[in-house]
Amino acid sequence: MKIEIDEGKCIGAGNCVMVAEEVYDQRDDDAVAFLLDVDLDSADVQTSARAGAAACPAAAIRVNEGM
Amino acid sequence: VSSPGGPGRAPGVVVVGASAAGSATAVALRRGGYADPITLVGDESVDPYDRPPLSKGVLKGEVDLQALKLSTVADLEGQDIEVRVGRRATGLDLHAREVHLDEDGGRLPYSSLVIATGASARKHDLLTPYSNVHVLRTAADAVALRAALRPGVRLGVVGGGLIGLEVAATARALGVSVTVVEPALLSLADRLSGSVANWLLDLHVANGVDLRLGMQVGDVVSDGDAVTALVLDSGDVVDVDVVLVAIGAGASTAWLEGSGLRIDDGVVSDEFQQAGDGVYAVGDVARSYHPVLRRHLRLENRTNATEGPLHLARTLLGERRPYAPVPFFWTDQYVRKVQVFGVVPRGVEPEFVDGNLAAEKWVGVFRTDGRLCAVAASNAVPKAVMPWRRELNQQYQECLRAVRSGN
Repeated sequence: MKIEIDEGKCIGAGNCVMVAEEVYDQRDDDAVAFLLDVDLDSADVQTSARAGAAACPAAAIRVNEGM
Repeated sequence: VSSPGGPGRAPGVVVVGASAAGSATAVALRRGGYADPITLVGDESVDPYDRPPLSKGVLKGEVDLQALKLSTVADLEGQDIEVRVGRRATGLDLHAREVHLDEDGGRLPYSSLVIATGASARKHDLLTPYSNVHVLRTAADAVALRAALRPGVRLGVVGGGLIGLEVAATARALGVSVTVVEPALLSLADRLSGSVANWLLDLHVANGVDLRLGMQVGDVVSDGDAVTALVLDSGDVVDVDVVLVAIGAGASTAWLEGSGLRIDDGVVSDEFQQAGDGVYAVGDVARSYHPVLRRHLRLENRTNATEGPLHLARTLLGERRPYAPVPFFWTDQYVRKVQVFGVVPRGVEPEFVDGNLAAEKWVGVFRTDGRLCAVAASNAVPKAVMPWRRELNQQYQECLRAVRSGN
């Protein structure tokens, strides 16, 4: 799995952090989301990562399942 | 096990409306393991796209329309979703469980129907007929408005709500002169509280916007098919080159008239997003009962078109939990990004827990009877907001549990 966060689209709502704080965090200065250093091969991490992406109000997180 | 398309196969889920909420529902259903057919019907011949940037980056020319695509017809078809674009639903037969389609009078049977026809910009009786009068709802609207907002142009914004003020802020950045005409004396006080609304309006004044509050357009001066001035009920005359009508959006339910469903500026539905036997509503069109807020409401915010579909898909897959989202909206106003979580109670002013309205960043919380109801923030550091959001979510969950156990 690969996660891409489009920083230009991110509006800093923090919904990804709300539902998956073990996978996502936000920068202090502009609230833009970033991916934490996680093992994307772990099934639990993948579930959280998907949930965080689905919660984004700006469609800024893209989940590429095929890797 | 019946073969695809073979005799006896259930008609499956029909989703009417292929914008954000409709397409997200179809995708969530398939991802959740729904095995029967999913048919998505949309009257726009474009791929589903994201609307919030239309009044922000797109209008500024910073965001390309291509970047707004949420998915493409090819993506959807690749997920075994049958997409019928350019088709319009014209009626609904609840008894026969069929949606009526335009042109050939086709009928589409369903096991479950998802209504996701969204909303459209409200029209202004006096202004609509003129060629230089715009609304802002679709990508095409944004392209047309953007072309009209050249430096030095005089823009009249009718309606000082979130969209009207957001466009006013964007237009100022483009070097456009802006006058906002708004019937309320304190625009947005119902969404933001009096003090935050005042702060926002002051921001507009400081940025050179001419605010005409407590006033309405009573007449227009025109030159052929173009409006040249707005005549306010106060007698004031505002010269304009371009007009934006931003007086909200009405639910798109004309096709459901006479169907037997309850329509009241939206498809009236219960806390399970259900509007009738096998019929559900999602996104801007739905007026669902909110079990925590204890009323029916139409949530027109972007997150409702994300969370609503995910929730509805789970319901259609057999879960039964009420839909009780924490409402959320954000707005970009000049260099400020304002976010509101929850619903600001009428007449309640915020308690500032970080900064204050004079500071660059602030977080305010709203309480009634000691209970947290809403959190508002401007340019806030995420860590200053997050604990309050968690408390608010917890508050909703507790309230939901109390409602369900009959307390």
